[in-house]
Amino acid sequence: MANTPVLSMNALTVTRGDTVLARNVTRDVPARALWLLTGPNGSGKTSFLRALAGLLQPASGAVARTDAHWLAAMPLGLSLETPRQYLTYQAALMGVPFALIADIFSIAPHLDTPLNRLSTGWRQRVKLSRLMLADRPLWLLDEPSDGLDADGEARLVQMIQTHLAHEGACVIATHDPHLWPRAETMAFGDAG
Amino acid sequence: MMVVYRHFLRRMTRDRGLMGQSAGFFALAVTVCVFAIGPDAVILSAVLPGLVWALQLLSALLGLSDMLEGEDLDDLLLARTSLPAAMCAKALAHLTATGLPIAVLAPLAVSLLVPGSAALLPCMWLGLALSAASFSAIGLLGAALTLGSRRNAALQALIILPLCVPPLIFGAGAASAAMLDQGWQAPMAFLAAIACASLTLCPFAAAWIIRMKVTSA
Repeated sequence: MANTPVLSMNALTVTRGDTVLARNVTRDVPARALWLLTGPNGSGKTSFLRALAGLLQPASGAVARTDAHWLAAMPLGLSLETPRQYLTYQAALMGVPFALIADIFSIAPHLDTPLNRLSTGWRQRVKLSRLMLADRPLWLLDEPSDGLDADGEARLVQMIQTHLAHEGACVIATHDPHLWPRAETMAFGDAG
Repeated sequence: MMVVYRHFLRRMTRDRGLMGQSAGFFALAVTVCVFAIGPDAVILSAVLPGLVWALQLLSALLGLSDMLEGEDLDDLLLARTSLPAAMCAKALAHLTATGLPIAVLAPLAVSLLVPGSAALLPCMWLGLALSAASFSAIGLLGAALTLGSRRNAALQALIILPLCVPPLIFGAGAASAAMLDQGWQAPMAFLAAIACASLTLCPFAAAWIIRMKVTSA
């Protein structure tokens, strides 16, 4: 088990229309690995990540992965729903009852405040707390640091470090690669 | 699945005010039509069933165009819960938000407008509930088919209106027959069959279409 990769790509080619975003990517992401996808807006980071999640049919090649958390970049809307209701719904989709493994982002005091009364940063913290609803080895995160302040960023880095230490793996599409200076990086936008 | 249903219902009623919107539209439209037709009970009893059903269909169209929105779908596609079951929950939430309030209240309004029609209440309640269920399920299918296309409300209406004609005809037919003291069981049975078929089949079709559309985007 320890040797099987958490995520593996075999000759994966991802396209958007006629544009090739990533060509023939073959690699394994083992446990404890952190892999960053970087590049300018529109270069294909999100599409590639969606292909890894199984939300986009690749042009060719295959993806094999274990159980994963997928977090899209889209911020939580200004709903009248409370974080508790939102997370209960997300937990139901994961097939578990609502309980946070750890309240990394200290959202407990805000659980019953409607989302439309929380700031962008706090809504992002609520969204990131989805990762704490169920223990899954692979995290696929699109722009997780969006809208977070310095404290939020520090907590995010800490959360990911803990996840890696517990044999987890993480693929992050980000414009803030400086948060993870030692991580391996795949750059998009330079001709695939 | 109950949690999923409640989430959808909350989004539709609290965030978008769909319940008030559709019930309000229905009440306003019926009132305006009744004023235009006049108070003659004979004419009203002939016209009202058809009118109620047509307006119910139009108010069910409200809220269909953004029934399936953006990120929601990613979560549902990757969820442990089955996508057709989630789609069924979505149709039922739309039914609860738009169809049921009208199905409960409209027959009461009719019985006030047409003297002596109180005996029809059970028939109208049942008929309106069944056709509302059909409209919501067929509407879900239309929402899935037009997902991702801009200005999809008109296209959606074009797609689902022909499919909604059978429940409309059988529902209004049952109520008209009951008004005239004729047997309404046969059209009601057809209506029930349509409601069962659309509630069970449309979620599967919608799930299939959504999976195909999202992953090939």
